[in-house]
Amino acid sequence: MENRGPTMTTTRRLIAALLASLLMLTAACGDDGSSDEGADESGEAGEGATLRVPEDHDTIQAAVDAAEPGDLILVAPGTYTEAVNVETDDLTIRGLDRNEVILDGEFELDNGIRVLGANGVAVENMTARNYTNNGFFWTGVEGYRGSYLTAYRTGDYGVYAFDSTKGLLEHSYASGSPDAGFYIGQCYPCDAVIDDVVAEYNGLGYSGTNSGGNLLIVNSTFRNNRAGIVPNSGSYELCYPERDTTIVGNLVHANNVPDTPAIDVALLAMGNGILPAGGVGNTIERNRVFDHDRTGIGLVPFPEEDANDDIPPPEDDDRPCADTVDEAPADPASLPDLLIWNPRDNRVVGNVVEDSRLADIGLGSLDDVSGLGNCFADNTYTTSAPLDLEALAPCDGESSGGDWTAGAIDLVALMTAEQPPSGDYKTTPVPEAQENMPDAESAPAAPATDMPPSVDLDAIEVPDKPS
Amino acid sequence: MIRRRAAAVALAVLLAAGGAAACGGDEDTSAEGGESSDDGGLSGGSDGDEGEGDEGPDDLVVLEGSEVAVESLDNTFRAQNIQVAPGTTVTWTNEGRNEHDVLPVEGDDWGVEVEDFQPGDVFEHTFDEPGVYDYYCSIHGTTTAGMVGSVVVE
Repeated sequence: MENRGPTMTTTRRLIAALLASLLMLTAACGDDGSSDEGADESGEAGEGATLRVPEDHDTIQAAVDAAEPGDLILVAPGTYTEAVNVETDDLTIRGLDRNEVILDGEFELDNGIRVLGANGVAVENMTARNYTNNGFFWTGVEGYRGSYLTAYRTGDYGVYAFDSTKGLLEHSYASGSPDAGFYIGQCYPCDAVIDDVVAEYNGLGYSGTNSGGNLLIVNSTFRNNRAGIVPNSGSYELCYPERDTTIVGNLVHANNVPDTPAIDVALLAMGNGILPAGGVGNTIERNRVFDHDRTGIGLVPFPEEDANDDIPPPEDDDRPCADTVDEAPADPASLPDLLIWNPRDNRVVGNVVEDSRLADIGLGSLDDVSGLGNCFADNTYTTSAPLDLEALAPCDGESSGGDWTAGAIDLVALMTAEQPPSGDYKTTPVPEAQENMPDAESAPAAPATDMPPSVDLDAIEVPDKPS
Repeated sequence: MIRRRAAAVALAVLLAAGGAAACGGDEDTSAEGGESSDDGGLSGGSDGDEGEGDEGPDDLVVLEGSEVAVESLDNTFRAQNIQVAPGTTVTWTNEGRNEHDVLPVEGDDWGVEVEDFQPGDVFEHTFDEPGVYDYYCSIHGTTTAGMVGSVVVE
């Protein structure tokens, strides 16, 4: 025993030294040396840690880089001149005051918060302004949520989800984007919900190119844009066409503002409330739509010059986006100079539409509109183009067989009409203070791991007209 | 000897565990990237992100001819990963409705900034030297994620 004593002691010392080295190594590499400085970066058992900005980390980006899946990042009031990239799953990034936690791009930075391929990231209760591209941006993710967000004066989109599925955008506000305040694009099925948002002073209140499939736009307000809700198809993004978007219970009005920032599509769409442009199989139901220079609800084609691919056949409507993105496009030489994405198989039902200078409900195409499968029923309206549209294209029963050309939309005239040029997104109105999320300080982390929530569409009624 | 061997095994296990525990999953990627980023001195080449040596990404589209085209859609390069012969001129056209840029992951001796790559704009570059040239759009991606592409020259 005495002879073994010293040997055992040496071995224990060696193992102890190795364990100490291991612990030091773990601490050094685990967080890039930027975390574990704060006093409260330890969550309770089974929960993520809470990282505070600027107490624990000077910048939002530093906190994001130090965070691990499940963590909550709490941002104190202040102005943060940052373009934050998020590449860690399941984070919750929350401002403590929606109106006082401000990411400011100073018209030099591109995106306020950009989530790249990180699933389940929720961003809450803050403002992004003055970005050359987007305020809040998710791309290539499964699971996302934006709640109580304000975005204004952004060069492309305010709140933007691209090539992303299983999402929720709610209780948010976006203004001053030449493209769209809210945008969900290139996904099918998207499995996403836009609920209780407000979009104003944008080129388009909502735009969604080649998106759809369990995509709901509900209980929201789109006002004072060039055009309100504009799902659209085109080969400038993948997963065409736009299809199966459900638009229910929205308040859409006065989308005629001539001095908003506006891209070319917004100029083309100006003066319309809900305008699926080349959309397929959409449901537009129980919305209140009023005060538009052209149509309240119009189903129109989208003309695409120099298209990058041909229009898929209708039998491909149910193909998931993922099955089509790697397919080789058609030979450009085989494509017409102007590709027409027609609206087809859309349902316009039970809306209340008034005060439209061209038509409350309309259907137009450069082709024969009678065979496109669109239908209109039970709407409250005064004018339609063509005349008697609900009789010509009923959702149940046979068409009246009337004259589709009587009172038809003159699409060529509309598409070639001169519109007021784009305003400067950098000078659009500063929004009023917006509602804060409840309990921002104390609410637990809520990563977007179970999106989207279910929505009881049947319970949604036509919204009241604002006083 | 047995005890020394046991200690040696413990040391190896601890070191291995320590490396893994300390650096997590990201470290594996970094290690691969570090090893594979040695592209043999190819000018402008980079293949570290895929960690596949000089072979580049798996989903290569082989394009023939002295001039080939890549579309910059919103927000995807199509074809994303191409293989061309040395001396080929690659032309990128912004076919989207948003602005983009084309920036090399390594170096700055080619590429186009956003100011010069608005919708409808065209950028071209001739790749004379064999190598793997990774690139990305900084607005809609990073060097490793989002709107990224590769030109494999061989």
